[in-house]
Amino acid sequence: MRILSKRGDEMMILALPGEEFTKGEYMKIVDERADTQMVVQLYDSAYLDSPGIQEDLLRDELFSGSELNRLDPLEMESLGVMIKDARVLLCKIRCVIRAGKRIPESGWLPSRSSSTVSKMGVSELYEIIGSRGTRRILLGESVNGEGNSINAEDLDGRLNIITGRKEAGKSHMAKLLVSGLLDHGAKVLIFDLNGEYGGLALSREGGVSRYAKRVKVLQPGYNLRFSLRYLGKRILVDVLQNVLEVPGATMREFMRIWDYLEQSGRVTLKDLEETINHWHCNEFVRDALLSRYYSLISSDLISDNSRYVTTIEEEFASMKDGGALIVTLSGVGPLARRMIVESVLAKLIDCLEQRTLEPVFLLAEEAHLYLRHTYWEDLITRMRHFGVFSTFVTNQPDAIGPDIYRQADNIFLYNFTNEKDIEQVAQASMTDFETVKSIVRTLEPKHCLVLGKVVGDLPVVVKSVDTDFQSLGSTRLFFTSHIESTPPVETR
Amino acid sequence: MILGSSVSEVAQLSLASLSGIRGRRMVLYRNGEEQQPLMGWGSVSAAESSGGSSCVPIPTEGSVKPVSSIDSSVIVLGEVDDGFVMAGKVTVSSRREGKKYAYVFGPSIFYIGESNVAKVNELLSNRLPERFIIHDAAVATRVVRVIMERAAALDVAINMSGGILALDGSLRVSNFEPSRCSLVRIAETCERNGVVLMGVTKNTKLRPLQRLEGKLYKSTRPSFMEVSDVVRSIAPTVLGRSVLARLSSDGVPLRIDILTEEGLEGSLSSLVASDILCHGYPDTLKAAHILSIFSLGEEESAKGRLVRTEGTNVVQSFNVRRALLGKMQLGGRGGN
Repeated sequence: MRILSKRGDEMMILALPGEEFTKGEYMKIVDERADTQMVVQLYDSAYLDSPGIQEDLLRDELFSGSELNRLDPLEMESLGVMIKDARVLLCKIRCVIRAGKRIPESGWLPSRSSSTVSKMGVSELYEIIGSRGTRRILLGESVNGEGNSINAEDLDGRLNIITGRKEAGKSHMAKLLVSGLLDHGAKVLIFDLNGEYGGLALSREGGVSRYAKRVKVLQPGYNLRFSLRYLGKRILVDVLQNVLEVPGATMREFMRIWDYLEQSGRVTLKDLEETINHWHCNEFVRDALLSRYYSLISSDLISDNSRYVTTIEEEFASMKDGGALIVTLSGVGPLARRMIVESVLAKLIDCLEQRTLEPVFLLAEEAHLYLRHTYWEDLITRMRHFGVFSTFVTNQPDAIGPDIYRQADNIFLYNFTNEKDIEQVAQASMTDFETVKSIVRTLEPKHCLVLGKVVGDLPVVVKSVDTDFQSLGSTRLFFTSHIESTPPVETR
Repeated sequence: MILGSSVSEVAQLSLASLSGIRGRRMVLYRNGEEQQPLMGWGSVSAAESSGGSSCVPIPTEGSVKPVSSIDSSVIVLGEVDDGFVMAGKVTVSSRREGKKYAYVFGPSIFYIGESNVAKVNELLSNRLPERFIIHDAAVATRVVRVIMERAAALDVAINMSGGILALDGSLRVSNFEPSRCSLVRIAETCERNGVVLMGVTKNTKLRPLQRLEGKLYKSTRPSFMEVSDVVRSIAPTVLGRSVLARLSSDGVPLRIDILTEEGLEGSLSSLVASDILCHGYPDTLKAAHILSIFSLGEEESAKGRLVRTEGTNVVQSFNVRRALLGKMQLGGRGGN
């Protein structure tokens, strides 16, 4: 391999047929005279368009129907074939290393005549990156088959986004991250839209996994209920205002009712209903308050029975060595879902503000379905100061605004084939447009492009490792359930 | 004023010469390339004054025979201090029983310099002054081309029976004929094997023949006229009989030298029946031409082979004209 040319932040490398390359692979260009090397990443390849190639190919094609015999005593045909199949590897310059240290790429160019170009493994790459942590989380293997791990410390205090088309492997990656965090004693809160994260507790064979004791599934209305007093006035106001859209005048009456109940020591659902019914106020206000009250009741999140209520602090306290609380949202209506998420998140922040909880990793799948947009920004800009470190999982890249992408520390990008989706992600991602566009389009299932702090800002393609727990989201199919009972019928 | 009466005389000559072209038909050359008028040159009377017989229609029911056509090309790859390095290719393109075949020999690299020119000379029927070969790239190229093409033609003639062997260009005996496989020997072998040997010239340089082409354009059918006498008078070493032939009604007239025992009509009708014609030009000849020309990729391959495996030492070079006159190009030509 040889350097062919450089244009902007791109290095073109000439490669002859015979050497296999994969998009995302790293290469080093070593200039021994300067004791410096350049690290480049292959993002695309093309044929070398040397002069006359097109005429050659056209001629080959013209005579493909003839029986063509060649007498080539000097075996120059093989040289011709090499020229025809020669490739140009389009690489992005990632960094420059001088005397073993990563230095800014300040326009230094390696010698085109004497530099050597060779492949570079991720282990060598990670030595250059120099991570700040030691708690490894195995994600899978890199394109050249080496094991690929990240450090849990690089997820700590960070905002992560996992995105890609459906069935690309996003949930699998999310579960890998969660299991890795659990291995290192972290506390994780998961909003589980499809009820699939419970699989963390199950082995692939259907038995109990090693995480079984550190995973708890909280089902609203079953084992996730809070008392009205526990939630408190601030959270109730939040829910009424942001989810149930209570107007200002009604809200004022509600606050007066709450204060009254608090003074009289009767902050219960029953007393709240009774007080609303007897409260001296406009009839419309009363009706509005009652309708919101019944909405609250329908969420099944609040209970007066002290035997059936819990607190977030208690739940986390039972997981001394770390654990995951999975709030399952499957089978819950959209309005109730929003009320549950809003209440849990508000209470979580409340606890963190009061320092009654340790920092928590939050994983939210398809969060746009249950989280209002303003809350997203809040999560990112404010909550990390309290100790909520979010990971969003979505197959709709446009559901996440560009302002959020810009603040993301790590992005795990899976395959997208839709041009618009790729552009959306590429523009907002933390690396160059060409790399994202070219690599993401061709990623196979379970392969992702990892960008950000976890890879020292050097994008890496990773094939996710298989897990010993149930990690795949399942699709309920029609035909698989009928396949045994009804034989296939030939259609015309 | 430096320029005086001598130059004035030249100017007068120029002006006077121009009066001679008034009212004449003219074609303008494009980028130095010779052009032909669409329906040929001159009037019928002019053509008749140039000689040549009358037009004879080519019979449509000719016998189908195997056809093989040969073309070659040689390029100069570089120069060493005592000679030249060339690469050559020769292609035989055939059509037999409706199927197409092609045989390509090369690219082969040849060095002709002081150290081996004597050996090269030994291969030729007529010995040439050695300096003549090693000091002129065009001569060296011609020598290699004739050697390669004749070798291929002899092999085809030996292995063919009762077919047509078409060579690109005339059947003129060259000054560089190789003794072992000269054109005469090829002709003898063809005769022995019942093969019709043809030399097909796309663009004849003989002016009297160009004048006769108009006659063929007037014929609506494929036809030919024998021009052996005209050709012999200008190029006495041409073998066989020569015709100007328009092989298809949409074709251009070609000069074809034919060595045959079955007569001109029979040979030409066989060619028309045996090969596909594109604008009156045999397809096998066209294929041989396309396969024999060097593409830039092949030229680079040959140079790569020279550098990588032949132990040559490539030295820095420069273009004298470019160095002296600069890069400025005004789209003009000439001025060597």
